[in-house]
Amino acid sequence: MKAGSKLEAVLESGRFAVTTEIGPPKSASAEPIRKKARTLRECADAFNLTDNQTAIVRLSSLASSAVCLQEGAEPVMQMTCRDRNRIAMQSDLLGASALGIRNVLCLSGDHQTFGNQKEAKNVYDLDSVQQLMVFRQMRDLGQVWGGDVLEERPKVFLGAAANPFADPFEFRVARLAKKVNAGADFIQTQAIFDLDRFERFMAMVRERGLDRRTHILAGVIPLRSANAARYMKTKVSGMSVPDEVVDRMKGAQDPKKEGVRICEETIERLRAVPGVHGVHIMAIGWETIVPTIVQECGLVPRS
Amino acid sequence: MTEPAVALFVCRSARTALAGPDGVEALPPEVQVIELPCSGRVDEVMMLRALRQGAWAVMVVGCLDGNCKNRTGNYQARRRVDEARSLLYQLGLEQDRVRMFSVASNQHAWLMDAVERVRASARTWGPIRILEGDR
Amino acid sequence: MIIAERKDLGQILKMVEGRERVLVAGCRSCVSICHAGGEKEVATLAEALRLKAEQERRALSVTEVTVERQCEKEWVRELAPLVSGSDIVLSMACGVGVQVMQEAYPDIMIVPGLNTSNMGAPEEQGIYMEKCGGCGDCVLHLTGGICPVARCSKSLLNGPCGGSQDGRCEVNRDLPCGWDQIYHSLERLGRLDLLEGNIPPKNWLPSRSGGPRRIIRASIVQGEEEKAEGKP
Repeated sequence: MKAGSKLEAVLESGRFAVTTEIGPPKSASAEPIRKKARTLRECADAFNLTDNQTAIVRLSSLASSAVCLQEGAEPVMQMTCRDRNRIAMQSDLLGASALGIRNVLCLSGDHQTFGNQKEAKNVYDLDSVQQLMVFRQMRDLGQVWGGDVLEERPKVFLGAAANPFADPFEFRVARLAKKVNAGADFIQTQAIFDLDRFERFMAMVRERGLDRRTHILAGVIPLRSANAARYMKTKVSGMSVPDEVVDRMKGAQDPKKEGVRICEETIERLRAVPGVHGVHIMAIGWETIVPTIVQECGLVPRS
Repeated sequence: MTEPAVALFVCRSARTALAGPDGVEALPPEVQVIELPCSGRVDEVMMLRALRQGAWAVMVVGCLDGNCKNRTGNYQARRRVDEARSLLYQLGLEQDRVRMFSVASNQHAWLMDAVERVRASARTWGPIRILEGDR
Repeated sequence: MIIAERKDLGQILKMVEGRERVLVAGCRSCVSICHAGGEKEVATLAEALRLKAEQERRALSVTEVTVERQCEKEWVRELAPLVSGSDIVLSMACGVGVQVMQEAYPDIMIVPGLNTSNMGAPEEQGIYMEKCGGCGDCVLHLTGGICPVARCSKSLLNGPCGGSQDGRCEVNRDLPCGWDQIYHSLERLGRLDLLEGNIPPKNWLPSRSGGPRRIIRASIVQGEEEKAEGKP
C-alpha cells in the first residue's frame, strides 16, 4: 500500500468504492464542514474537499481536509494548478501528509475568470500531469523536484480527474494514459449522463489496459430540476447530457425524485461496466441527498 | 597518411609575414592561402565552408591589436572566429580546428612555426568525416 | 510582432493635462501594422487633442512625428530638436519604445498613448491574435507549431484540460482551445506520437518569471579595446 488510506484499501481489495464531495464554505468557520462530515461519514469511503472550485474563494481544501479528518471522515484533498506554484504544491503536500491526509486529487483547476477573483494573476506553473510526476517523486523517491532529499516521505494515494466527454474525444483515452503514466493511482471522472458514450470510452480504456493500472471511479450528479439539467447540458464545459435526460426532468411530477432516480439508475449501470471500480457522487449544495442515494443503491454500510 | 589540408585566411597587410627574407612564400602545397583585404572580412560562413570543402583546420591571420589599417577589422575577425569555434563545439567538433593568429608583418618565423603547430594538431584530429567520404 | 491598442482618450487627456506643447511620437514598426501608433494614428490622435483643446478654449500645440523604430536609440536620438521644444512627449510606440525614449530624454516626461499587449499576428485586417508566450524555451517543434504557453489559457504542456469542448476554450467560447489545435495539427502532420510522452515541469527561468531578461549575443558585442580603437 502506497499511502495506507481507506480509499486505497477498498480499491486494492477489489470492492466497489464510493466517494463523495463536501464543498468548503465561504466562511472562516469550519462548522459547516463538520456538520456535513458527520452527516455523510457513513456514506462513503472518502470525501473530496474541493479547492476554491470555480475559482470562488472558499475555506482552503487543506484546512477543510484536516477538519474532515477530525470528524472521522477520510478526506481526498483536491489541489489545483491554478493558484499554486511547485514550491507551494510540494509544501502543501508535505503539510497534508503531516496532518494525516492520505488522498490527493491533482487538477488543472477552473480558470480564474470563472469565479469572484477574475482580476487575479493565475499561476499554472505545473499542469496536472506534471503535478502527479512531482508528487510521485516525493512519495516514491523521497525527493522534491530537483533532487533534494526529504527527511520523511509523504504518504499519499494520488488521484486525477478524467473527462470522457470533453474534446477531442479520440484523445481523451490517450490523456488518461498520460495521467496514469505520470502516477495517477485513482481517477474520478466528470459526471456521467451519457452512458453510451461512457461505455465507448471505457472500452478504449480497457483496450489499453489502463483499468489494470489505475482505479476509475465514475462520477454522477443527482439533478434537482429541469433547469439544472438544461444548464449542465448547455452551459457547463465538458459535459454531455442526453436530451432524454432533460426530457425526463422536464416531464417529472417531482423533479428532485426523478433526478435521484436517474442518478441511481446511472449508478447501477456503471457498476456493471467492467473497469469501473467505484462511484464518485457529486452533490455539492445537496449533500443531504447522498445518504438516500447510497442507501437505495445498496452501497451502505461501507465497512 | 595524407598531409593535413589547411585553409589560411590572411589579410593583405599580414601576408607579408608569409614571405621569407628572400620574398618567397614557401608553404606546403596542402596549405591554401586565401587573401582578404582585411581580416575583418572573414566570417563564420567562410570558416565553416572551408571545413566542409575539405580543410582539416582553418587559420585566420590578422594584424596585432592596434595595427589594423581599418582600425577594428582584426577585433571583428576575433569575434567571428570565436563564434565559429562556438558552433564547432555545439556540433561536437574540435574547436581548435579554427584559430586566430595575430602577427606583425615582420614575424615570418613565428608565423611559419604557427603553421607547423596547426598541421601537427590537424594530424592528430584527422579530416572531418563528411558523408561523401574524405575529400 | 508586438500588438498594442490605443489607450482610452480620457486617460490620454489626463496624462497630458496642463501641458501646452505636446509631441506625439509614433513608430513605423509593429504598432503601425496593428494600426495603433503609426503615422496615421499619430495624426488622428493629434487632431483629437487639438479638437478637445479648441473645445475647452485651451492653448495647445501638438507636433507629430513618426520614427522607423522607437526601440532603437539611433532613431530616437534624431528627435532631440522636437523633444526640446515640447513640454511632454506622448509616445504611440509599444511599451519598449516609451522606455527607450525616456532613457534618451530623462528630463522630460514620456507618457504611453498605448496599452501594449502581446506578441501575435494579424488574422485578418483589424484582428490580431496572441501567438507567442515569450517563454525563452520554445517547444513549437513538439506541439505542431502551436504555442501551448500562449494559446492555452492555462499554459498546459500536457493538455487539453477537461474544459475543452468543440475545439473551444472553457474561458471563452470565441477562443479556440490551444490543445485542440495542437492535437489536430500533429494529427495532420502524422506526428501524434509526440503526444505520447509526458512533458516534465517547465523551466520558467528563461521566461519573465526569472527576472527581466538580458540576452547577450557574444560575438556581436564589441569589447572595450575595440570600442576605444573605433573612436576617431
